[in-house]
This record gives sequence, structure tokens and C-alpha cells, in this order.
Amino acid sequence: MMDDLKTRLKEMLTSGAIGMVIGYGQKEIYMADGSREYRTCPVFLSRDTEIDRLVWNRHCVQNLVTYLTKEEYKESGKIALMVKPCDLKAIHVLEQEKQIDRKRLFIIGLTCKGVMAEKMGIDEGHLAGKCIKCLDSSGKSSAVCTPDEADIVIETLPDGDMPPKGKDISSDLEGFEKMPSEKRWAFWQNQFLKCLRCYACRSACPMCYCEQCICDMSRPQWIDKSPHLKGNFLFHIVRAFHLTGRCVGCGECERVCPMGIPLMLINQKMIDTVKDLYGYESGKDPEQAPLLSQFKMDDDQSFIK
Amino acid sequence: MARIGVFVCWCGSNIAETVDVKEVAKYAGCLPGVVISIDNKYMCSDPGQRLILDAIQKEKLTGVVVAACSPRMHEVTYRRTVAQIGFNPYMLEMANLREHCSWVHPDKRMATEKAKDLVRLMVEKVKRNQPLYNVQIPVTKKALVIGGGIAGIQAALDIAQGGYEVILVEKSPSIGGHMAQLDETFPTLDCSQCILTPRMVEVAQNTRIRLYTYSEVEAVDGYIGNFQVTIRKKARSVDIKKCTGCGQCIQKCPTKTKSEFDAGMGIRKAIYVPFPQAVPNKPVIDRDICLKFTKDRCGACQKVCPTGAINYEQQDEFVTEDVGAIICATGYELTETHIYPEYGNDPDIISGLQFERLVSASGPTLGELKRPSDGNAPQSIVFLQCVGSRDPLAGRPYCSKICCMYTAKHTMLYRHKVHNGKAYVFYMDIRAGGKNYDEFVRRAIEEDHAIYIRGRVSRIYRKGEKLIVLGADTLLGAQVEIEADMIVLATATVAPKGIEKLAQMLGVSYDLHNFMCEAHPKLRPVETNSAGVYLAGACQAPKDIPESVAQAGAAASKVLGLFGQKELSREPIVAQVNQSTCAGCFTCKEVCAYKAIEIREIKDKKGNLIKFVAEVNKGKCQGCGACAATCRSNSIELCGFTDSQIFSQINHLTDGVTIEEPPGEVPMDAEETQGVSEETEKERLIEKPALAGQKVKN
Repeated sequence: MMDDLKTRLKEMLTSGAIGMVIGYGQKEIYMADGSREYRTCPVFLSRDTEIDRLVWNRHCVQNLVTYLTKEEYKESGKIALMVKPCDLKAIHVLEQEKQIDRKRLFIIGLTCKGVMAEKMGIDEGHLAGKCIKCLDSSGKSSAVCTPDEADIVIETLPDGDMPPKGKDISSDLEGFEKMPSEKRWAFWQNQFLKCLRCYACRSACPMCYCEQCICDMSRPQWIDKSPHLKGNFLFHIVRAFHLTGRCVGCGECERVCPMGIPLMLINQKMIDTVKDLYGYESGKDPEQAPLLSQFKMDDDQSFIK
Repeated sequence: MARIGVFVCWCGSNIAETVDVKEVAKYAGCLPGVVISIDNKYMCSDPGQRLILDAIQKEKLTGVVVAACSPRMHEVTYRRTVAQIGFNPYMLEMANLREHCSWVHPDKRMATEKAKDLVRLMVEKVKRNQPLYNVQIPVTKKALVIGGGIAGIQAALDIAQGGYEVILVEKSPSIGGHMAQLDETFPTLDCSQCILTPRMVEVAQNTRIRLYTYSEVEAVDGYIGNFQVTIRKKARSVDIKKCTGCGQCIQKCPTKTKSEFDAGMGIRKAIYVPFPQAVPNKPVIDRDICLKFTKDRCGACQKVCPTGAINYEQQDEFVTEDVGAIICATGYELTETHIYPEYGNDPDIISGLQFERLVSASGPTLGELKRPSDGNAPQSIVFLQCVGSRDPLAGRPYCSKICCMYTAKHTMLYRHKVHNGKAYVFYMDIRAGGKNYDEFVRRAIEEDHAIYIRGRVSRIYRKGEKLIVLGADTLLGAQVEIEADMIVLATATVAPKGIEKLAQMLGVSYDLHNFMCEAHPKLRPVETNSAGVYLAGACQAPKDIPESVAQAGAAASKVLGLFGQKELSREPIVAQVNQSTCAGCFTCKEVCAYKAIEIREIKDKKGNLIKFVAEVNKGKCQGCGACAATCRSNSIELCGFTDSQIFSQINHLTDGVTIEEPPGEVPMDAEETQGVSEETEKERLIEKPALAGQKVKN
């Protein structure tokens, strides 16, 4: 199946039907001790000779949809993109927000049975948090890329057994919510104290596509830019609000955070709240109106006092 | 560098009693950037306004803060004043020391401190104000009137008289409305149709009025001066151009149903003209009952029509019209007669409107009063007022307003038909305010011997030929039992069913009972909150004919006032998009209630598309700020309420706690504050009152 795909992509690249393939590929990495390792990481291929580097395995954790709105790839013509079923939701949100032109996109839909958490030193070798909800006991994903949405569907599952389950975000959240408010406050103070304001979370997030982020504004400066607690709190709260009704829970922000701040705790809470209150699931359908710009007469209003 | 003038008003004792205005003026004089600070007993008075003008000229002010009442009250006054001498009116702001301070706080010391805060914040805002210029928008000088009752007719005639085109849309086959159904009108007892039909004919003959009957407004787009209205012309099944109105089709039609015009008291055919004086006097086929449409047979009308005007294939047509103003005159309905179960559902219990048809010379009985059950002339009639209105339990606490008068009229009409008949009226209060109204009711009681009983009726039941009415006479403190032949209920006046859809289309708010809301109950009674949309008649609240006509005239004069202007000028408090940072997510477009956000293409010099961005249509924008609040990249601002203005106000509210201003945000008096450390800044702000007196000119 992968071979068929590669042949087809090569043809498309040569004929100019697509300008670039964004997918997962093997890359040689020099380790600190001088040894070399092969790692799976995002690759950007614009020559047919490079296509053989493409892989589909358990380490393909990244959400490649993020790259679609980046300035660098806007000039690349039609892009072929490897998309896991969960990543497809991000495409839907971006379509909803008129950020991508579906005609400029060739979606390679992958059939998934969970990917590994690839976080630095943490949880490695475990199933990624986002997959736990998605997979049933037999290791089948509840989300699938249908031929309607994907231009081509890869039906082969990556080899190997299901990795052991790692931490489950839902149970984490449950535990967190049981804590008294002072403890929760202290928890977040400790977490945000660590934040370096490197904005890796923002860069990895498919929904953070603004040309100028409000956090970078200086007239007026809404958010302190230096990495101290006050500005850090504000930054993460603003991010949480800006993702409300938009976050698809891909977990990239948390995965890329060099300081290990559990950002998905915030995002998952928002996802749950939005679903409980309005029955809204972001990314379910590109046609649905964005959550914050619609209302129904029977919307819950109990919080208005 | 900013040169701000602060003008503190006493408002007589309204502000001065609770706020030490002198101290506030002194304090304001020491604020950075303030060059003059004056207090005056009435700043809105002529001498008060002169003070402001003089200060602007002498001190070369760049901004003005008037610390007085609510801007809702006098902002317009002051802005007009300063505009006289060429000062940009939007460089003037008001600090509300009355509604937001003196009126709500008892403690003078604390109120004075708050007043200082309010003034300080407004000074900070004005420093960041930008001159704004009114938005000019063109006006389509054509009006739409929705509803062809007396209010709509009057409004249309008045606008046409003013020289402008009018489109009159009526949903039923003829104009005329409820007034055409009435027999005689209070308080003069002149024949309703005799005074109405000349107006209807006038509408038909007026070349400036385009009449759409049997039509409904389907969609309304646009904004004041520039509405686009889609009208659905329902299929009449009769070619109005070929039809001569001979009426042969009506004679031959075999299908009958209850006539809406006769309020169910008479019958009409499936092809019908609602009443003989209808305008246009062309029939329409009721497709719900016509055999051709229900069972695909008959076709008699088509066979007899001498001009071949019957067209079963006709479809609904949609026309789009550009108009500059809309008058909504959609009128009212009456509730059903059997709304109280204890009154039963007897055929001899009818509504006021049904009674009108029974006594009308053009009615089903040709003016002979016959009761519905057996056709005998009723020897006694009980009239019940307030049936369904003034009844919180029935969900209608309001007064239907017209019933007191029409019930008195009914008793008279009845006595004029049945000379020795007995008319009883159960009433709660007699509300006969109006010219010659009370005299009219007295006449009913004294000359036509109507028997008025103050009280409610608890039960009605049939006993043989008669209806027994059980009620209370609260003045006597006794129970009464009356034998009646017929009962007339003054049922509640309600808004037409489904009218809220139209209101939503027009962007007009409506109350609990679906009556449309005026912009201000006293001062803007015919305007709505949707600019360019006006109200006339009972769509706003129950109204009688004189009131409806008067309001229609008022609405028409508003439209004429609007059309009299070359271009519309409106205040520039509108949203503005920073198109260089706009990410083009168009969430703003989704949340805009006024459809004011448009999509604009940004192209490079060669004409290649760079991106799509949002653009505000200044004509449509109402300045609500929903787009600004929803924009994640803060690319939308509201002119006059920009982020930097609000931000500096919030910052200065903390009164020297920490004022962190990014370099770009240093106020215009930067020289003063530059180099001042946070610590000294703090001291300076706190110590300000001590410096008082040095800069104060008054």
C-alpha cells in the first residue's frame, strides 16, 4: 500500500499536480554521545527522488496540519499531506475558519491504531494520551479517514503490537478537579513558573495561525512578554480561551513543551465543557458554524446570573 | 503634546451636593496634560458652553473632558457646540459624575474621590482620541410600507404626497385591514367603510404607490437608506392584468368556506374577492379548498372566465426592491372567543369583530341583527369587557385599549337596531380617555340606556333558548344572574401570529407579547432601534383608528425627513479592521448581527491574490463591538473606543500602582513623564491634590 502511494506521489510530483509532500519520514540524528539514530519526524519533500523516505509507523505522532497555515508552505502549490484520522479534525476547523483551500490539498488518509507518546524522556514507549480515548480494546480507532474526505486512503496499519497505555488525560483531569481550589491554584503557579515563553506550544498548534499574535502586540501590550508568573498566567489563559471550541485535542502543545507543562489538562477541560454545555465537538464537520459565533434558542444559560 | 481642558459641572445641586466639584476641578487641573480646569453651575447652559469655546480658542486645546451628566443626555449638545468653531467633536468626551457618581453615592468624601477617578480616566482616554469624521451614506428615496390597514394606507399616502415612491405590501388579497370590517366608528358613529374606501381608492390611483397585495416580505437585507427587500407575490391563480373583475367565476364556484372578512359569520367561495370595495377588486383562488387544486376537477371558473384570466399554473413570484426606509404597520389580531373554559363555546357567544359584521349593512345578514344559533333578533345582549386582557393569569396583563370604546359603540348600534333590547356591559374600569370619548360612553349609558355593571363574569351556560350569565356586581356587592340571547366578548387584542419572524428580519425588538418595540417610549415613539425602520399602528401596542392614523403620519414624516437629506450622516463610532494583521478567519462576519463585515481581497501590484481580509461596511455597522471582542488577533477596533484608549483607562484606574506603558504607548505629554521612575510616578500621582491651585485657572 505504501509502495502504491509512493509511486503515485512520485508521478504527481513529476507532473506538477502537487508541489510538495508533507509527511513522516526517517531522519538520521546525531546523538550527544556521537552515535547515530534514526528518528521519525516530519519531512517536506518536493523532489520525486526523496519520496522513498516516507514512512508510516508508530512514531508518527506529530500533527502535520500545523504546517498548512505556515507562510513557508503557502507558495508551494498543491500540498499532499499525511493525515491521521484525529488530525483530520484540525483540517475541518481550519476549513471552517477559511484558512485552507481544500482544493490546494491532497489528503493522504492514514488508518491508525494508535501512536506512541514521543515526549522527551517522559512516557516514551507508551501510547499517546490522545489515542486512549480513540481506540477500543481491540486496538481499532474510532476515527477513520473516509474516502469522501481523504483523496487516498492507506489501509495498512503500522506494524507491531499495541504499546502499553500511558497516562490517561481523562483520569488526570478527574483527579485534578477533586483538588481544592487553593491546591489547584498552587499547582498551576508551579507549572507556569516553569514556562520559558518559548512559544513552542503556539508554534506547534494548528489553530495558532494569526499573523500577529495578541501576545506579541505592544500597542497596547496586553500580555507581559517577560517570562514571569503574571504574564505566563495571562498567556496560557488567553491561549485556553482562544482555543475554546476550536481545540481538537491533538496534544501537540503539551508534547512540544520543553518544560513539561501539562497543557492538555486545560485544553481537555475546555473540550469537555464545550461538549457538555453545547454538545459541540470541534472539527467534527467543516460545515458547522464555529461555536462562538452561533447560538441556539435552547443553549444552556444557567451560568448567566 | 496634549492640551486638555476639563469642565466640571455642578448640575445645580445634582452633582454639587454629593461631589465637591471645586476639589475635583482643582485636582483635574494638576493632571498631566490638563491645561485648564473650570467648574460651572450649569455647563450645558449658554454661558457654560461659552466657557468651553473660549477655553478651546485661548488655550489651544487638543481635547475636552466635560465632567457632568450621562453622555446619553448632553454629549450631543457639547459635541455640537465645539463643532461650531471647527473643533473635532469626537475630541470631546464626557465623564459621568451624575448617574455614575453623585446620584448613586451618599458619602460626599468617597463620591468626590470617585469623581476624581472618573475625570482622570477620561482625561487619559481623550489624550488618545483621534479626530473622527461622520460617515456619509447615500439614501434610496423609496419607502416600503408593510401592512395595508389604515395605518399602512395613511403612511403610504403621506409619503407619496411628499413626492417619493412607496411600495405597499399587504398579505391578504385586498388592502383595508380591520377598519374595512367595522360597521360604524366611535366616537362619531360615522360609517367605517365610507371614510376608509376613498383612501383605498386613492392608494390604487396614486402613481407613486406600487401595491403588492397577496404578498409577503420574505427577506430584508441592508441598512438605513439602503435596504434590499425580497417580496413574495403569492400565486393568485388569476391574471390580474386580464381580469376585469366581472365576478362570473365567483358565481359559478361550487366550493364554500367561512369568510375571514366576515370573521366567520358569513361564507365565501373558493375563488373570492374579500369584500365588494376591495382594492384591487380582483379575485384570488384559495388553493387549500379549491377542487382544482385539492382533487383536480371542477375548473368551472376557468370555463366561465370571458378573458381567460384564470391561471392554475401560476407560481409564487419573488421580486426584489431597493428601499431607503421601512414602515412596519402589521396591525393586530383578536384572540379566540373561547379562551375561558367557564364561558363555554356556544355559537351565540361571539367576538366584538363578529358583532361588527352582524350589524354591518355589508355583512352576511345585510345589517339585520340575527343571532348565529337560530337567526332571531336578540332581545338582550351581555357584553363582557377585558376577556383575556388585563389578566396576568392568561399571560396578558396589558389593556387592549379599544374595547371600552367599541363596547359602548356596540350597545348603541344594538339599541339602534333593536329598540327595546337590553344591553348589559360587564366592565372592570371604563377607560374612555380621548377627545369626546367619555361623552360617548355617557351617551351610551344615558341616552341609549346601556346597563353597565362593574364586575367580572364567572360562568356562562345555556338554558333552553337563553344563555345564563353569572357574574358579580362589585359596586352592589351582590351576585347577578342575567338571561341573555347573545353574548359579545371584547377579546384581547394581540400581535399577529408569527409576527416575530418579521420583527427579526427587520432587526426590531419585540416585547413579551410580540408587540414591536419603539426606540424610546416617549421621545422616539415611532422609531425603532433598527435605524430606518419605523412603526405605525397596532403592531406596536393596541391602538384605535385616530391613534393609528396619527402615528402613521408621524412615521411618514420621519421617512420624509430622512429622504429630505442628500446623504445620511451618521456618527463614526464604527468598527475598523487592521487589515495587515487580519488573519481572515471571518469569525467577525459570523457574529455580526448587522451583516456589516464584508470580505476583501488583498492583491499585490501584479494583481495576485495575497489574502482575504475582513472589511467593515460603515453604513451597516452599528458600533456594537461584537466583532472587536471576538477577534483573536485583536485586529478589529471600535473607533472612539480603541484598545489603547480603554487600556490606558484601565491602567490609570489603578492610580499609580503600576503604570507600565510600552514605549509606543507613552501619552502625548511624554516629555513630562519621561525619565520618571515607577516610584516617583507613584508619589507624584498620590501627591497631586497637594499641588492644587498652581494650574487651576478658576
